Formats: sequence, structure tokens, C-alpha cells
Amino acid sequence: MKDIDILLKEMETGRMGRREFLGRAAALGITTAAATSLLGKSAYASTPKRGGEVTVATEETSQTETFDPTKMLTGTDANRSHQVYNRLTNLDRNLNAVPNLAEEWEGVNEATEWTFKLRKGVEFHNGKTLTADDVIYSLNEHIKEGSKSPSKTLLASIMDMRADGDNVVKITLDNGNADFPIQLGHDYHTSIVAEGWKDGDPVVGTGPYKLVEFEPALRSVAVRNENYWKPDSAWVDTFISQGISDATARTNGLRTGAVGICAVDARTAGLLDRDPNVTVHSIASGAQFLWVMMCDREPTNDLNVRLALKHCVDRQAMVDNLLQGHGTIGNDFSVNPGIAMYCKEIPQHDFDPDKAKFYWNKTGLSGIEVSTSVEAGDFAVDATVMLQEGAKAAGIDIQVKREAADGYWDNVWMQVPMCASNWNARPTADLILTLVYHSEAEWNESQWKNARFDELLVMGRKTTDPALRYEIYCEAETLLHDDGGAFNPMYMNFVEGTHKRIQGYQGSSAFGLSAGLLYEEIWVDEDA
Amino acid sequence: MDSLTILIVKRLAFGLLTLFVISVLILLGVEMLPGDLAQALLGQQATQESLAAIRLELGLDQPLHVRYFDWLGNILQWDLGTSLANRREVADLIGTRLANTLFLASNAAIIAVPLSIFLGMLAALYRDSLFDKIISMTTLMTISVPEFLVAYILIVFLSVEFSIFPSMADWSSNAGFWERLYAVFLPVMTLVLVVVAHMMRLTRAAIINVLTRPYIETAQLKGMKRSWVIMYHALPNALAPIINVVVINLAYLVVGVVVVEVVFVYPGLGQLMVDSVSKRDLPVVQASGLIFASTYVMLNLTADILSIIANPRLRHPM
Repeated sequence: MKDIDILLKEMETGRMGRREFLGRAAALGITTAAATSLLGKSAYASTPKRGGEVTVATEETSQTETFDPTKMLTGTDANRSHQVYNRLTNLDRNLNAVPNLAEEWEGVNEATEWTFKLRKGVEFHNGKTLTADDVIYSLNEHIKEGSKSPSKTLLASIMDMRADGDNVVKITLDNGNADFPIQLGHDYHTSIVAEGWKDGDPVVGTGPYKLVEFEPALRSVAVRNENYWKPDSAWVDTFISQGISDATARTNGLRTGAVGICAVDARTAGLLDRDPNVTVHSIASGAQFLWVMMCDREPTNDLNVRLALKHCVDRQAMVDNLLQGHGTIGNDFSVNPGIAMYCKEIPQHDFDPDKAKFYWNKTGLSGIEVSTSVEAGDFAVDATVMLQEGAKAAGIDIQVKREAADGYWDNVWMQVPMCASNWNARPTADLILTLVYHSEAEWNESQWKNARFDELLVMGRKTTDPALRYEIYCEAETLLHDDGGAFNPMYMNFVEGTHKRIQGYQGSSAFGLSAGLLYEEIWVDEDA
Repeated sequence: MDSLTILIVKRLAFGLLTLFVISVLILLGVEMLPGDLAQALLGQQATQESLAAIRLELGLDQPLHVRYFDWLGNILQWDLGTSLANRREVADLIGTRLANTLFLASNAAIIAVPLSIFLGMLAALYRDSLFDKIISMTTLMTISVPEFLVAYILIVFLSVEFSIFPSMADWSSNAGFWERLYAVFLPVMTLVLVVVAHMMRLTRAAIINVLTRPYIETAQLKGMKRSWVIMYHALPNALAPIINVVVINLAYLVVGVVVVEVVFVYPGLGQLMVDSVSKRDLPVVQASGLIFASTYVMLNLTADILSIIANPRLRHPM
């Protein structure tokens, strides 16, 4: 019956019409009546129900795994945090902030003074009621003196936090930030713990699942929080979370049902999708691949070099060949079309050997060395070879230098004039632009410095009027596009697989594995 | 003291010296790798401030020899120290992983060792027959293919196509013995296929070598059955090389199976060591490295002792 399963799946995912389905079912020797009844079964969307056990497999495994929000580092930590904890806000699938522990909020005075009103009657897993003090404690753990939290820089603009009664938190920022609620909804480090909680205490949060077992680099087991504040959510009884670094092992687990949900390799996703036990989800995201061209040293400090190279590669061919279509093309300003402040008016940098030759002839160079490593993505070496081939058409000689993955970020990245790099998806233009392109940013990998750009970032951040904001970001993004040191040919989709017993899974462009939304949304149907 | 005891004491002393040398080599090896723990932890996310904070907390700002002698002082008091990556006791961290590794290795050994010696004897008995050739071909094939490919082939057929055995060899914390045995079936099969060839071929060669001796001829001329000749005259005299090859393979089963662990998501010591090397977590690397080294030292010693016991001439030297 495998063939009919495949047909049903094509039909469900909309790749095949009803007529075609009936026709092809007939070709398999199935009568129209029987095929129609099969169709009925498939079209019946099962309603959520409680129960079951699901293993979610993440890609990283490390001895450093932790439930301490100030120490979380890996995607596995991030994923687990959504089981046990809540943040003040959450991100919906359009990357807008929506209520979570905070029911409503308001930012005034150029978005410097924020008031968050907390949901009443929310309880931690140990029965303690959530108050404003818990929120203040949790955020302060990141910014206090001597904190080693990865989110220290991101939250550094918090000047003051005050409780106004048990259910209101007032936060003052030193610089206006209209995206502050989005930032809190996105950064899993801002998970709320109980006041006074320290690493080593029993893990308690307000989240949909309670931790019952945890062994770093092995697995965690969490069971449903029967007291969860959000009704009609968290359907599954038990979640097992496990990091599996080997992609093939993950895929095998998915095919046999040992794994319920996991990220899969874009390059083999098409083959995997043929398995009737597996559904592949592909969600456009802002996770980007790029070549960094450092603007503070020879030869990439010459704008002609940068412009020539930006016209040397067929971006759509890269997406098609390296990601098997599971991606979107980039336009060298690091903000993807899914983000609100994506500037639509900027012309696309295309593959154009003549233009490339025009700029390159002004440089007087014969060639350039480009370093690359799988650390920047499994496909990073292939991508650089594609660039090399494209550049040949413009008479540019690129030497591809393969570097070891080990120590790549210390010894190559931000050391050599041009190398491959990548960045995770960020939900706002401000977050990625400030992180990587502000003149003073620690991670300004291209060392591109532009005073006007810095000024625009500050203006854009505190502006609340959307139309005005759009103009500001458009100007900043145009500067980066025309002049910057980022050569960002593509964004990678989040490509994820679910076993057929998992129902109701939808990814999110905010983060892999639906940014944790799955823990409230999915349910198990053993008969599916 | 008899000569055997003297030998054991001598070898143990040399073993300790070996372990000391190895610990220095591990230290230098990890130190030579680019970057340190702080950089490995934070990766692309590192800032100068957070790097400095981590180094200070973990004592990575101390010079190398100070850190090494601190560690050596502790190890002499049976204290393996704490992991730099997560501040847990290295002994706890390694305990369950080592138990897992030994569980896998012993299951594979229980099947592989008798099987290969038995097959080796049969191959010697029916030397150059069709049976001998088939056995040799099959085992040579399984040893020539890389172990991960053997593993994937087993997974494709026994796990994905026909869901008989799980592709992921892990278990919940309250799983019983039989459940665990079921979970490790495929990795055990993989290892058996990989090690049987080596042991079987050597058993065959060793026995055939002995079969050319005059006393075998005498036994045959007495009218003894060929299978009895092999069992009672050939095998005991071929034991020394067989013991050696068995021991080498046992050591491999403990020390060399990290690829199999990764493919089957098996939480063994090998994966822990690889993870710790990539994190530059020196105390864990040292402890795992020393466990692996001691495995070799102890197994080698066992091989020598067994060879001596099996050979009366070595047992009673003139």
C-alpha cells in the first residue's frame, strides 16, 4: 500500500489535485469508490487529543547542556527552554510579539519606558505564584556585574527595572527600542525563573512541561504540566529531548519513528519526503550564509573588489543546487524578505560577468583567495567553488582555501580578508544589523564602518511610526547593500521532518523546530 | 617470588610509567589544538569580555605546568577532578559512559570471540574446501568495508525496511537488562562483523602452522581423528598467537568504536571523549585517555600471562 500512501500525501500537501489522485489511484487498481473513501479518511483533520510520547531530536549535543538561562549556548538548550520556561512575550509566525507571561505592554517616551502587565494566577511547577519580582530577578541575572550570560550585550540597554505591585514590571532603557518586546519573545535566554533560583536547584518554570530527568549530552524527559496556564494546549504527555549530531542517525530515527520531530539535511530532504512515514516541512528563514569581505585591509577594502565579486555568482543556482531549493536568495544586506523592515526597493545584485569585469579591471588585481570551511555550513565549500566558477566568466581568479572546522572562528574568521561565515535568523532588522554591522559591534566581521549607518540604526530603533521606520531602515540597508563588506547570496530554510504520527506541526521562521511553539501545538495520532 | 609474579609487578610498573607519559602527551596534544575551552564553548558568539570571565573562573589563565601538576596531584589521590565544561565530577561523568562502553564491548566479545575461534578451527579443519573459501570471503568482505557502512546496511534492512531492531541504541533510565540488550543488537552485530574476520583468520593461520609439526603427524599416524588432533594437539599449541589477536580485538571493542557509537547514537565513552576534545575539556580528555590507555596496558598484560600459563615451557623456564 506504499504507493497509495504516497498519493495521499501528495494530495494532502496540495501537490496533487483530487482528479489526478483518483486517476492515479485507478492506475494502481483501486476502484473510484474505494479511492474516494480513502480520500475522506485523509481529508479528515483529526482534532487535538491528549496523550503520547514524542522525541524531539536537536542537532547539537554537548556536556555544557543546561537549564540555567544565563548559561544556555546551544540549539538544544534553546529548544528545551521552551518546554520548561515561558518568556514575557512570544513570537507569532509573522514575527510579531504576542502575549505570553505578559498580557499586555506599552512603550512610551521614544520607546525607552516599557510597562509589562503580567498574567495573573500563573504558577511555577512548584506551586509558587509568578510575580514581578521573578521577572526582574530573571532579567537581572543576565546584566548584573560579572555576568557571563551570552545575552548580556543584548540586554545591556536596560537601565532600571521596578515592580509596580505584584503584576506590573516597569523597565527603562537607556536607548529607545521599539522592538524590545520582540527581542524578549525571541531570545530564549530571557526565560523566566523564580526569584532566587540558582543553577543546581530543582528546575522549575511556568512552562507547559515539567522536567523529570536530565542528563547533559544525553537526554531530558519532561512531562505535561497539568496546571499550565494556557488552556487547550500542550497535548502530548511526555517529551524526550535529545541531541543527535549525526544527520543520518537523526534521519534513521525519524523514518523508524524513534524520533518524532527533527531538523533534516536540505540536500536529502527530497528523498526523505518520499517515505510515507515522514513529512518534510520547509520554512523560509533569515538564517544566512555569507562571505565576509573585510573593509579594513587589502584587497577587499577596495569597493571595486567587493562590487565585482558580488556580481560573480548565480544566486538562484546556488539555492537550487546547494540547498535543493530550500532557501531564498540574498541581496547583500542581511535582512531577508520575511522581516518587517525588509526594504523592497533595493535592486537585486545579479550574476553579471560584464559588470564584474568592469569593476575588477579598475582594481588591477589578478585574483583573490577565499577561505571557507564546513563550520560556515555543510555547503560552504561547494558554495565557494561555485563562486570560483562564476568568477572565471569575469576573468577573476579565485583560489578556494579550505580551512579546518576546528578553530575556524578563532584563526580564520575576522583574520583573513575574505572568508565564509553564517548567522542565525534574527526576527528584526535592528537585531542583525546592530549585531554585525554597527561600527563598534564586537562582531562587526567585515569591519565596515559608516557613521550615517550607525546613526540610522539608533534612529530606526527608537522610532515607533512604521512608515517613518521603513524609510530609515531602507536608507541603512541601501548603504549596506551598495557599500558594505557582506556578500550574502542566500538564506537557508529551516528544513524539518515529522513522523506521520505527529499532527499539527508548523515550523516558524523565528528559530528552528518552530521556536518551541510545537510544545503547545502538536498532538499524537497513533493511527495516522 | 616466582617468575610470573615478578613479571606481573614489572609490567605493572612499566604500565604506570606508560600512563604518565601518555598523560603528558594528551596534555601537549590538547594544548596544541587551536583555541581553548572558552573559545570552543562560545564559538562565533565569543566576546573578549565573556572569554576573559570564563578563563578566570576556570583557572585557564594559569600557566600550563601549574595546571598539569595540580591535576597530577589530584589524580594520585584518586581524584579525577571536575569537568571544565559543566563543573561536574569527571568520575560521575565517565562512570555511566564507561559502563555503556563495556556493556557494548562485552556483548560483542561474548559473541565474536567463540564464534571466530570456532570458525577458524573449522576453516583449518576443512582447509581449502568450499566451506573454507566461503568463510574467508565473507569475513574478508565484512572487514574490508568501513564499519559505519556495515552499520548503515544493517540499519537499512533490519530497522528501516523491516522494523525488527531499533536504529538508535539508547534506552530510558529505568530500562531492564533485556531491553538494553535488544537496544544494542545492531551495534553489537556491526562490531561482531568487523572483528570476527581478524580473529578467525589468525586462528586459522595459527592452527595450520601447528599442523605442519611432527607431533601432529605422529598423532595422525596413531589413527586419531582429524578433528580431535586439532582440538587436543593443535589448538593448545596455537593458543599464544590466538590470545594475542583476541586481546587486540577486545581492546579495539573498548577503545575504537566511536564511529559505531555515533551512527547508533550510543552514549559511550568514545563520544564523550570526542566531544570533550572539541570543547578542550582537558580533565575529561585526560581521564578518558587514561582509561583507554589502561585498557591496552591491562589487556596486553593479560595476554602475556595467559600465554605463559598456556605454555608449560614458559611456565617452567630452565
